Amino acid sequence: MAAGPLKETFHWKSDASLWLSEEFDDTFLVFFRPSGETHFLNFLSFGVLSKCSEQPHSKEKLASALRDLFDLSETELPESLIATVIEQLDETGLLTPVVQS
Amino acid sequence: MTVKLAQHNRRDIASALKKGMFTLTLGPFKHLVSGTSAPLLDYLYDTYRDYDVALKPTDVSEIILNLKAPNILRRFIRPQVSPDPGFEVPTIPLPLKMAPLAFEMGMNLSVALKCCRFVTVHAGVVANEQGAIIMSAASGSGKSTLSAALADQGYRLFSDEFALIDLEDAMLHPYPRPISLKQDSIAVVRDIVGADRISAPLSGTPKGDIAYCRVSEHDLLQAHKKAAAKLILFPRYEAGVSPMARKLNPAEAVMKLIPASTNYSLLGEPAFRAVLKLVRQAKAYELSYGTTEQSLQLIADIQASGAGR
Repeated sequence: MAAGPLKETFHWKSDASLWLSEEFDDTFLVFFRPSGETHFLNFLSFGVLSKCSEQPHSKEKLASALRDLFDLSETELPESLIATVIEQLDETGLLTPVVQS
Repeated sequence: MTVKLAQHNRRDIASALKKGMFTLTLGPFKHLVSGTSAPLLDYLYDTYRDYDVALKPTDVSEIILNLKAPNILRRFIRPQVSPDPGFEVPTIPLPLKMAPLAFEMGMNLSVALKCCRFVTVHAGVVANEQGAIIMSAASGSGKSTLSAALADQGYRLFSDEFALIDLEDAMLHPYPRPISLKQDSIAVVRDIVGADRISAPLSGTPKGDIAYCRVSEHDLLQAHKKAAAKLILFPRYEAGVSPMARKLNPAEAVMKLIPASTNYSLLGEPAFRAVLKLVRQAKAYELSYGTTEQSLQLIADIQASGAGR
């Protein structure tokens, strides 16, 4: 989890070796090994997690990549929604911030 | 050697209980029980009459339960009894006449907090040839009544308290202890199974009036046979409500089973994998109903629709 307020410059990553996932009808169960907690993710939040496990992404890059992935417009998937998902995944520890120099 | 409790001499049972040498074998557990109260002996002699017991300790016991007075004063003045499962746990001392409740509470605490070979979920479980039905609900939601009603329809009773889910293959293990009945459910289940299967009610307990329904001899003989889950139900009894069944996404079912488990967080990843296996092989539903007949009809309808076969 980020120490202090989230910054626009943060990139976000996820270590896929730390979690297990299972899909059920567009919903995902994710077991996070460090916390031992099981999380219920919708397709969007799992999309964020998956993208960040490939390489670190900024909020803008994530929004753009997910719009392409799910064929959504900027109105349908605004950056503010991605920011909310990032914050929630950061709370769980599934995402961690990387400060880009 | 284990023989049925009723075949032992009552004085020998009392002596074994006093010396801590009373061993009850049931399902996957051997329980070593000690206690000295007459109400405990009466209860075991009646409600546990068909269970296999030995009057000496076995080499391996999983559950060790001592029913004792909370302090020396309460052995003699207004005697009380508390379950001691061998680890620190907050319990309420009960009047001696409530020793059966202390015994059952102690057994539940032992399984809930000490058992790590299974994922334990607070649920009633019954099974037939097609598989098992898990009914996960909070106390007072009617799962014990429903378990008793289904057992009366020919299902084998696995437990009215715990689903024991195997960590390897997610099979359910029977653990058929007497069905715990509270308040109005005592009369309901008495009407279903007959008065001879119901213990003498205990009045004024912290849970209100309580009685226990004896497990059938047939179910005890089958207590070694595991079953795969075919239905996972989340029943909710509410007087006057219209009966309704809602199918759940398996992921929703997992998220409802986790808080009902007493050891999921402790077991971690193996529990996650076992619960996934469980929900892959079964259909899950939320049930709302106002009478036992309605709940039985909902389950029959679900089965008739092809789910849970």
